[in-house]
Amino acid sequence: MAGVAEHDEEMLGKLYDQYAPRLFGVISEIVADSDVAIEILREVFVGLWKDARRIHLGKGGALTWLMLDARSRAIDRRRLDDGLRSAAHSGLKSLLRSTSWLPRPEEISRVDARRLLLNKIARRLPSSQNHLVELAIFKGQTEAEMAEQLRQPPGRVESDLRAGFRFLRHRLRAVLGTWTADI
Amino acid sequence: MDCRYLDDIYELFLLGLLKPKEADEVNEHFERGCPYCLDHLHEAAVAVFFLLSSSKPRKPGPAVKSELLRLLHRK
Repeated sequence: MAGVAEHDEEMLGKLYDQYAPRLFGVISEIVADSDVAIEILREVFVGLWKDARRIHLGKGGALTWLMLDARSRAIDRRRLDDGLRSAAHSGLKSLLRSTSWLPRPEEISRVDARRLLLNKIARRLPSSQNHLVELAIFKGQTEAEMAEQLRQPPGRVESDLRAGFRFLRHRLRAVLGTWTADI
Repeated sequence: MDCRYLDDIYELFLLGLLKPKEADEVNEHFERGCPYCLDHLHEAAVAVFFLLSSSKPRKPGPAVKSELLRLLHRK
């Protein structure tokens, strides 16, 4: 990342080789049109090029940050194409004041190494909650929009979605070894 | 300060899906450097990373990279 901050094109190229397939995978999950997905991928790297000096991302943090950024751009584009307002802003930029909340490289490696187990556990999420989590992650729908689409009471959607994330968070803690209490 | 009432909203905060009032609240804690909120935001970021990275990686064509580097060279 230091090389990218110094506008070293070779380093950016290396970072691109390392991360572009994962980012393109996320973007393509959200927008179906390949040309639009490529455009968004390009925007993510141009944004990084412009901001790298300011954001001081560590090795592990960079991938998560770029994924969040790629998702946010793809969701905005999808919502625009669907004639919807941009989703409530996550304040991602404001989060860059400190990057200590971003996952560390060893955590990223642990998630990747234990993915099969984590996927198996994630499949235990009740299907209604799983559906809501997917709508949140890949469609960028707010709780109110989900309630409207699914014709469910907003309070129920809110509690189911939050329970879904809680389930995943607790299981991740257990599998990644950062949890000591019973789950 | 007891921030436990925010426990279930850190993922939604990262995803930009909170109501403005809730988002402002998390932001305030974050700006104050609240250690509890930073820790929980960290956990939420791991969960969000896990979910986003469940997408199958797709390799963009080679022309995308060369075009990008050309574009950056001009900037």
